[in-house]
Amino acid sequence: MDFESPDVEREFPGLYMSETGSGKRSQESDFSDDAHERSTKKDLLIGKRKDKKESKKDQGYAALEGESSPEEDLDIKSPCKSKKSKSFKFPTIKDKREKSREKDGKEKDKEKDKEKDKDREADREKSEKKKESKSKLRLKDKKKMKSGDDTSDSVDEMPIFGVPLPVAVERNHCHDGVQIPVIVRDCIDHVQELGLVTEGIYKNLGVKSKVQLLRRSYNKREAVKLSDYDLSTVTSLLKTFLRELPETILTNELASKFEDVACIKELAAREQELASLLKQIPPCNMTCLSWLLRHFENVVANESQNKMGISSLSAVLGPVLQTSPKVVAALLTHTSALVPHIKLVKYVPPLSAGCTSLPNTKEAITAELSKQDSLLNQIHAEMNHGYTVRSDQLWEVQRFITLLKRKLRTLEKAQEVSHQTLDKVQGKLEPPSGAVHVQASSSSSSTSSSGKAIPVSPTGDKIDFQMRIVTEEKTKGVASSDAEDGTMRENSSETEQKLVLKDRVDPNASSEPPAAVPESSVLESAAGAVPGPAPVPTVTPVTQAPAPTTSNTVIASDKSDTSNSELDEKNTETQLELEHKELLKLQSYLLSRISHVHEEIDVLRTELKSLVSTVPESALLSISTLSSDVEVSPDITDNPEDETSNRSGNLTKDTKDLYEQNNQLMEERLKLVKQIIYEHESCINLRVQLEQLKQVVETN
Amino acid sequence: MKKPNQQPALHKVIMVGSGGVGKSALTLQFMYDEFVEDYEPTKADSYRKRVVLDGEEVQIDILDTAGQEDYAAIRDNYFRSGEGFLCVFSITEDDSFQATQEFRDQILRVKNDENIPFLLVGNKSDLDEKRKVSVYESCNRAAAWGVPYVETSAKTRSNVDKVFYDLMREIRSRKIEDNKPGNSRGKDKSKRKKLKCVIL
Repeated sequence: MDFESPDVEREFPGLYMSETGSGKRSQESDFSDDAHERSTKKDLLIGKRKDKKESKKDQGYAALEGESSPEEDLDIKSPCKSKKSKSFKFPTIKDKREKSREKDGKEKDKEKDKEKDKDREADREKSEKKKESKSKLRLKDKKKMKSGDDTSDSVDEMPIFGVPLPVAVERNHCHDGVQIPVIVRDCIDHVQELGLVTEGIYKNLGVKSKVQLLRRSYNKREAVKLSDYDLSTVTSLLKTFLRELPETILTNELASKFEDVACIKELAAREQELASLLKQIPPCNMTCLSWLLRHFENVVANESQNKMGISSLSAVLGPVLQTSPKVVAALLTHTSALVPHIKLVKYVPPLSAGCTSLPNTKEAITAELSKQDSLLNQIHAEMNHGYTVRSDQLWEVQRFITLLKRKLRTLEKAQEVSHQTLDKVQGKLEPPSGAVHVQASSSSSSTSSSGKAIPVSPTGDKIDFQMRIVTEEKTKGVASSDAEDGTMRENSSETEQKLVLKDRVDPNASSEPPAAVPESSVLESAAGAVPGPAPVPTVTPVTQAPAPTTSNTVIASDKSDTSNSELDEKNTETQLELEHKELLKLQSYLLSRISHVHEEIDVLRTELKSLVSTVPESALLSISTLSSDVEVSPDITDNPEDETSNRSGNLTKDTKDLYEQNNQLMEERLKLVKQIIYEHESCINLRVQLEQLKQVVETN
Repeated sequence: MKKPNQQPALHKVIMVGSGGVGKSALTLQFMYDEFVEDYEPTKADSYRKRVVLDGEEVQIDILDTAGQEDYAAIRDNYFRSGEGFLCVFSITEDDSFQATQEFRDQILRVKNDENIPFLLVGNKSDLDEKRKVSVYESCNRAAAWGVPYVETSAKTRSNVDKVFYDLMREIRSRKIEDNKPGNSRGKDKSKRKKLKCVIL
């Protein structure tokens, strides 16, 4: 049994490699010792000296064998490899062995050989299948093996280095739409950020092993952090990438033409010729070259510090770009004219799926979504090429996309809702052409005139601003108009009255709510709830009590109509009285609030007067236009400080945004105010009902 | 790679089935307890949720795939990485039931494993008056495949949790089984099976 295995192994070396290799080896070495002993016996006849020498040699050989075999085991995984190395290495020893064994076990050999043949076949099939499945399913393993075999150049499935530029762009593309390999972008970003003033940038060589490490990482799509490496290593990496491109970035076709053009002495002509040549190179190369040139231009711009002028930089870059330094120098000289529109934008890779903070605005989410989609497509493409390593990433990216989509959807829904309410509110606003409209025109005129009338802190300032409009209106206009309303109401029937009431609320809501709402937000919530309904009751003092009383009776009696249809006149009378009481209470409270607001206005007016002198003419102009628009003169300019401070900057865009935001907030407030009014009404009704019930109980 | 040992076990579930049978509806109902009426074809969506499975905290990754044929090309990539499958059809639509056979075949082809955790799910059980696929028929097919059959309603949430939890249990027991003999996983196992055949 022991004798057979080496025999079989000679014919099919590596057969037992993977399973029992090391064990067999140790046996083998024993045998070789045996053989060696026998041979020495034969050699005895010849002479002892020779024998000694040979035995020494043999011993050394045997020892070597013993050492090398386990190493081989580690190295060699595929049977084919071991075949070669084994049959090549020890022919003589095995021959000897065979001879010595021939006599002992010829017959045994034959029998066992048959058996082994069967096993061998099975084993072969085994290994073949292993190979197949490996190549299909375990590309990763295969890659590892290969990279183990080839010392420096790891053979990847889809490398980024050493492939045509378009291929590199496809395999390593930026997910923000710029058609440049990420590696170029990364290196440029890194140098732009940290290395523009470093002396000898691009001239100093990086550590070769580290460059190779980075190169391999990029080839394997591993996450790379360039900030962990020296600047010179990063520049060397970029140079390596460019140097390994199969053809110069200027294309081999045009390379000689570039050489010719570079020799032109006259600058203008040279520039023109270069431009026309650059138009002929493929867009992919052009984009990459443009970014590189813009970057190198920045390097040259810092020549005083980094000591890399056009000549020294192009001397370094000539071989890298696979062209002559002269061409590079020419390109660098005319960079600003040749690639005028290229701006270096730092590459922000797609957020990693583990990232918890999602972007918040619609635009940011959409941008991130397109990046993630691009990444997903790339993963799919790579997986279709058999790059199975990334299946985990596939799920992660997919999950991230789903999250983003959901967030986008909720944002859109929220916006839709707010739009709908906005439309509604605006529909109500349109007919009376209320304060909001006036305000809108006024602020837009101010933005156009100087772009500063919109306060930086929109909410607070605008609130004050509008509050004043309202109070003004309250004190002036309301008196007359609402008096008419009141008389009208008295004459009309109950149902009609209710309609009138509603109508009445609307104009109030349109003209006053902008004020009322802000008020409510400025004041504490408790007090804020009251100013909302203010328009309704403010009428009371001016138009005489009856008007509001009746209006409220409407609602109350509506309800009472259903519940207490049999109430007699006396009851309605008491009810009216009760309501009257409630409303009077409210009126007194609101009057106190109005006076309070008036005081505030006075304070602000004096403040304003003191500041008016400091406000420049143009600002005053805008203020005056404003005030003429709104017909509330001084109140609008309540925040001259803001105006002056804002004037300095060009804040048109900001102000626009703020203005839009403000408008939205206003709409929302309008809604709230209406709610408050209604709730207040029902509140009064409830109180009245309560009182009535109490009275009923008392009378009973 | 990144995952520390404390990370709960992760089970990867893939939803398959024709378009409009309610894969997304089931998923969203399971994930967020919400039922979406309006139909919007899915391309692919993925969700992760932490759940307690028989007292053990686990994570479930759900991949909601496209029912439409348009996206069939990218399906293989997803199927390859799935550990368990919910094959959904609508009990109100016979075509969707017939299509389950194709999905089953595709999964078996990609996974190369007859015993992959798999559930046949008849959705829209709330629409029993519109039923086109009988329980008998579905049970027969499930039995032929050697998989469980469950009827669900994404609308009423009936059996929604059940299908996901049942599948997770299958995946879990499958993983335990695979880890027992010599730390080898599914692929190795199928390979070993084949080897036996050759030797015999």
